[in-house]
Amino acid sequence: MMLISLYAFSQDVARFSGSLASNANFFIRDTLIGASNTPQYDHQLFGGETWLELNYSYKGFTVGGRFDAFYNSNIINPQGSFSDQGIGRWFVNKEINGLDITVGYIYDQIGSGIIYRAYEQRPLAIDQALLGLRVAYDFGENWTVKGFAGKQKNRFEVYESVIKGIAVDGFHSFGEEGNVTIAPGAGIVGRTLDDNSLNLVLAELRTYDQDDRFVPKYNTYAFSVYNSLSAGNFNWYIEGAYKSEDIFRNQNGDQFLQDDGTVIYTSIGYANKGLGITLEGKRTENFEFRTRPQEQLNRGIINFLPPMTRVNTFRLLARYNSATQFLGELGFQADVRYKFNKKLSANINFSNIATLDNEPLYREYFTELTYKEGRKWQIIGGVQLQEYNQEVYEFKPGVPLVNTITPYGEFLYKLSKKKALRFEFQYMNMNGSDKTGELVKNDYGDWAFALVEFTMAPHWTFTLSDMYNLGPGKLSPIGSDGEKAQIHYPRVDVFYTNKSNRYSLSYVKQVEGVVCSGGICRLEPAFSGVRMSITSTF
Amino acid sequence: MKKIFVLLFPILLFFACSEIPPNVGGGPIAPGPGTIQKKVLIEEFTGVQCVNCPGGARAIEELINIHGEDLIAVSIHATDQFATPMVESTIDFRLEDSETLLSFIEFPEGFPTAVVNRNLFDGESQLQLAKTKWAGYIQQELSSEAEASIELEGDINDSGRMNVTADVLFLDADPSVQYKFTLMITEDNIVNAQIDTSGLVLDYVHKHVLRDIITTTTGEDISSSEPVNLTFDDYAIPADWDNSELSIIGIVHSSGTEKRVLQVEQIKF
Repeated sequence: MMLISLYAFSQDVARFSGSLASNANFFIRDTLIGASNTPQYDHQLFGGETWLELNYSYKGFTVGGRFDAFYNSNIINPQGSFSDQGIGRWFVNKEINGLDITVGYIYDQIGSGIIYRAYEQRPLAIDQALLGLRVAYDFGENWTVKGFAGKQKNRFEVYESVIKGIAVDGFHSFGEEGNVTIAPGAGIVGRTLDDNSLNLVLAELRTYDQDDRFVPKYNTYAFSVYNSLSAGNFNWYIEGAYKSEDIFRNQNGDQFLQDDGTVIYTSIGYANKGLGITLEGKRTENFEFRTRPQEQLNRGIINFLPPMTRVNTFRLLARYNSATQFLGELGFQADVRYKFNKKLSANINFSNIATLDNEPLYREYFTELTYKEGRKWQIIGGVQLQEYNQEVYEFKPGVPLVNTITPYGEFLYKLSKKKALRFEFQYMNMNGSDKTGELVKNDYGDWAFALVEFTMAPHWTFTLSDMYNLGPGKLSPIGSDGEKAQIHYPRVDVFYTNKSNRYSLSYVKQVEGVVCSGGICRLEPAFSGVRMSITSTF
Repeated sequence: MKKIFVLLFPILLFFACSEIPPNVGGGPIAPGPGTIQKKVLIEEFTGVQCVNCPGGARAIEELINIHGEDLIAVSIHATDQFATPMVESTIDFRLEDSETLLSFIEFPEGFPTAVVNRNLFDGESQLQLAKTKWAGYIQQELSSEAEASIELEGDINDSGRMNVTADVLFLDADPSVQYKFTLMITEDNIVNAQIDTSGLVLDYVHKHVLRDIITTTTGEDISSSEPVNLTFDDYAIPADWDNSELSIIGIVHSSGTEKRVLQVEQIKF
């Protein structure tokens, strides 16, 4: 891998900046865990992606571009291979007398993103930039109006549907010293289907029974009103959205429907003297909003619905996740953190998600206790209980609810100012079903995970971990002896950081999975091989 | 005042006029008299353990009911994850040809999936298409002009040996392209276990299942400058196949990076 460093000065206040992110995967076939039968494992043996971003600003002008490259990449389709390269983004921005103008590929959002969010998330191959025009104008100090129009990016092309929007955002403070503030806002987004997409819908509708047919709409509008209130130790955010009739696929994904939709989302927080409390709630109904109804999975999504569960970082705790259900869900989350003293703090989190018919989808109880002994050592421990509806999230009819109990712990010990050791341990106990007189664990059954990490600041980090399927379940692979195999999934990582450059080299064996969403089943194959990555910011 | 107008104008543009709705009724557009109909091949990738795939199969049957003989379907059971037989399965539908064909055409992102005339349609980034796109692109292909004609004749003798002849005539060919001919054999109405959204169905009826590709998987080279006559003799039909449910499918297609099907034809025994 080559280190790239570009650094240039110009006259006056010109600035040249950028970033590089590059991944390379070397595939090693392992038929036992299912790391096979894709082009990369069969004959390509290598796949990678690169994003090189360059920005230049001078006297109020900012221009930027990004070179994207995919070589035998499986990031977009985990079962396939994609190769292409080109300009993934360009833009020009200039502010003229309070009017901010941007043309090119634009990232932006309205409110929390419920009706519009153009963003990028590279590991999921999400890039929802809008190719078009954005203008924003400040009315005094407290109000901003922005408008945009264009077409959503689709790899190196664009979707033909036209998207336009306008939003107003305000800010005002009250009271002595301005300790009460409000930030209200409202937005409208419209999407006009292109002729080709609508003609595909018409062709599909003509195969339906008369009772299931409808007159499809070219135009869909989404409206949103929101406000953020901050008063002393309290903050409160609320957003309500409505979407006019739109074409979307039913839960099974085998039929088009057309209906309007709503979302209401609120979050209340309190923080004072070591205590932090956050409560969140969201109700969603028929709020799938895409550039065209034919797109699925992560493709062509115009908006973003906030998730209602915590982000878990420990490996086994993050194994089951609740995918956002655009068609209907009711979610609630409560998070309480308390710092007893300098050494001891605790965190309790509860989340619950159900369908609008009160069918359970996901529930999580999470507890965490952290003890710090000065700067010498630190220990974290807790337990997670999960209930996960695999039938809905992975479209496996008749499969019982997955229930897990996962105790975990982490111990961090500083050997010296620059050297530290960290240990992690988790154990996932899976529930099972007993149909034949023998308990059979659901999904992959029980897991154990252990990790040891050695850090030599400021440059080196070495990590060794293993995820072990010690109690195989229904879906665990079968070994050569015809029995369910107890398989190790080891991983070795080396990280090197030098100022703003970070390099990593990893040997990975990762378990496979089948994920079904919106009526489409997608294979997430196992990974076996070597990964290298470089990130650099300049 | 001006600022208010600037603020209101774009809002008003959103609601300028109500839209004139499209006509949902209407059926397929038939070709004129004396023209050769371009037929459409839909190759569906499926598997007995794919819970959503029966939905795709039902959609294809619905489309065949609409388009009749102009739409020719092949169901290809592929990938170990979805096509591996279950304990309840009596037949293994997997073929080495199926995996080779999947690799040759393209790996899909999910199932059910199908390719329509192996064509990369405008606005699409891949050959594999989700179910909600099949009807529109089939209609689009049926409306386009035929670039070749195929005549198939075949029989199965008392010894269970099949003989097939194929006559290909190019109506519109690119001399710089190497065209190919692929011959497939499918079997209809095979009862075998299948997972559906309702659970395991032991007596599921599988339609137009790919049983073999008689030529090489990616086809045999044929010339486009003169009529082509191909013969396939003495093919041994396995004893467990039902001869009355077999079909022969002949496909003329491009080669190289463009795999587009120019014409397809099917005969039933």
